Amino acid sequence: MRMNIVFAGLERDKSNDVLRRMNGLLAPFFRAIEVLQLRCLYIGPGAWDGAVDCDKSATAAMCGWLSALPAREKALDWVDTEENILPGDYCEGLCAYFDMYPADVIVFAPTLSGKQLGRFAAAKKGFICYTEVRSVDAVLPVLKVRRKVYSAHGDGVFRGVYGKTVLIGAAAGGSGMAELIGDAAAGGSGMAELIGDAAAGGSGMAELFGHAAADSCMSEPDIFAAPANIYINNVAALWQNTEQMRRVFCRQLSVIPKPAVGNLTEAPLVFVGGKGMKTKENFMRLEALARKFGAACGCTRPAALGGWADYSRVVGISGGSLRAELCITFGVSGAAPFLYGVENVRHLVAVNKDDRAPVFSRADEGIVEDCIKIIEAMEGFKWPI
Amino acid sequence: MRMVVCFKIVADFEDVIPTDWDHMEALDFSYVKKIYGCYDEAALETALRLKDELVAAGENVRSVAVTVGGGPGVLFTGLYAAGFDDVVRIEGSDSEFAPGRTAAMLIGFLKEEQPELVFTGQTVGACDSGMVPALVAAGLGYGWLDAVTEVHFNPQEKQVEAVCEEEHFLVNRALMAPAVLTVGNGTASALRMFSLKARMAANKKMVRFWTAEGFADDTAASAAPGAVPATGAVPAPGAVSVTPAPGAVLDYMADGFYNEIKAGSCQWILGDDAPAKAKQLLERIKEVARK
Repeated sequence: MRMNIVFAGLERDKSNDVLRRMNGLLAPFFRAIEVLQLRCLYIGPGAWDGAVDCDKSATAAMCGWLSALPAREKALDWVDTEENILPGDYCEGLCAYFDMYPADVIVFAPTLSGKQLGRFAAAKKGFICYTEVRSVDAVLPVLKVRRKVYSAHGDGVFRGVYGKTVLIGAAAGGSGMAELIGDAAAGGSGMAELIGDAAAGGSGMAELFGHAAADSCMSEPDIFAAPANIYINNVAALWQNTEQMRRVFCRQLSVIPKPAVGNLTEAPLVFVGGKGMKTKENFMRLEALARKFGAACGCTRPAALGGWADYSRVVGISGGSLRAELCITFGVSGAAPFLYGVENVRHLVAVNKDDRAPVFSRADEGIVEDCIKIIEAMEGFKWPI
Repeated sequence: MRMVVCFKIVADFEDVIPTDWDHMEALDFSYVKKIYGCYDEAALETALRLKDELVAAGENVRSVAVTVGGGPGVLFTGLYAAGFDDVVRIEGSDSEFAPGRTAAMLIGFLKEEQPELVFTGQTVGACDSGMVPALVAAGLGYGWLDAVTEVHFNPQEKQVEAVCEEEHFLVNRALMAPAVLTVGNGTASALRMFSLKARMAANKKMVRFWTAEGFADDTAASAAPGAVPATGAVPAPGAVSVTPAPGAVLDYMADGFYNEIKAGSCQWILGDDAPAKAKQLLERIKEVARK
């Protein structure tokens, strides 16, 4: 089997997380099928979106990651992007790349840019594109893809066609992946055996990232200290030859930083406020309480719609997926799209005055009480003790 | 200046009786309230705000809302009340599993309408992978901006300025029209309220039917169970042939649906009053802090 993996919009501080999530998606393929040729295309170093803080260390991390994957032939292709090019412009080159290096399976990294580019490339090529993929069942000649459907009320299993299917994992660190990553970290299954030493260091990729990044003391990718088993290849010619590449649709006018919300998805302790908080002032009290306890503070989509918090704090299918040790929800009813975002939380405690609220069906512990009263009581506690 | 918003009417899944999800192979949404797809609603309002801005600047704007498939008439006429000049329903079966087919029908309509701007929601429906906007943009050869949160348009230069969401940034981009703008978590999230007078006036307007050649045979299957034809709806006089998006022949192929929501194993934290319960909560936090 031949496999193409495309990375776009990969940021330095997020590359480790993205690579880790890629493991979960790729492990079933490596377990079931011998990968004869694996090509990894890196579209970067980030100029594609103009704003992305991405540099050679991300390329180095990818190179280290690729070197650990079990495939007979491995290549890291890269194209140095011009600024302010839209996916539409890039797709011509990408389609030429897929024509030159046809693959049975095409996987895009679960970044916003990757999703956009993956969809557009699939649209151009007439391929099926499945996003938010939770897991795959890869037994030749059948490719089955499992993903959330009906606003996360259930899973659907869909058929893919080898050679004509684009897969994109869960962008928000979605469910299913965590279990695979967890197994790998524990040496249980999946990537642990597949990538050997790399997996021994926790999730594995952190180790790889470290070593690879340490080797990245180069100024240009073409003098990259690449592992011996990887062929490094500049494929920019495929892009330069396209009509679209010369036609620059888009100009970037300015970049606006998003409000800092801390590392919501990775924080060990997270408080989440919902519509039951009733007012923005109450939500601000929850934020202050979270700061006091060193917790990250998230919200539900209805709370964000109400203007109580920024959208970047949203937990659920349209926001982030938490991997907290402890998550406490305040006034969250627990709609299915929200519960998707707390599937990987180790211990979930829900506070809601309605004992029939759906959130209690997923919670490990529940408090039936007005969440404002609980917040008031917690404000009175001394911390740290 | 012409703008078209592609929207979809979907079932409100939060209205589904919880036990119905146990039988995902035979789901029936006929009793469930219908709503605009949440991102589509944001796209509709974003387009209307842009229209307001342009009209205030003296620009002549034609705004069209178009959907594939059926829905309650009140949702169609409500768009007239909100400020759209034309509301169009494309006849033909619409499926969550057929983004290629849906896009092909929209492309046919858009080729006839020739808008400068096409708005869509980021994702819609039950099983969506967000492919319809990509297919439409690819099929029409338009520029495409995804995850748009805010839009402005310069009619003289035919240039759209849009704020787009990236991982850590919002990027303000300028793009030449025509373009497809896919609205995500924007500043406009809900369709505006309108007066009873506007509603009464809207009820007198007709929803336009548009039939795509080659898809018309699916008309009977187009209405979702329980869907009501729009008030005063009449079929469009002419059908226009559709050029599908390049290679857009593959659609979703579903093998089955599963609901594996964990059974409730919630342990109740009990106490005489809120402080007593909060104290137990504090113990849980201490455990995490110790780790």
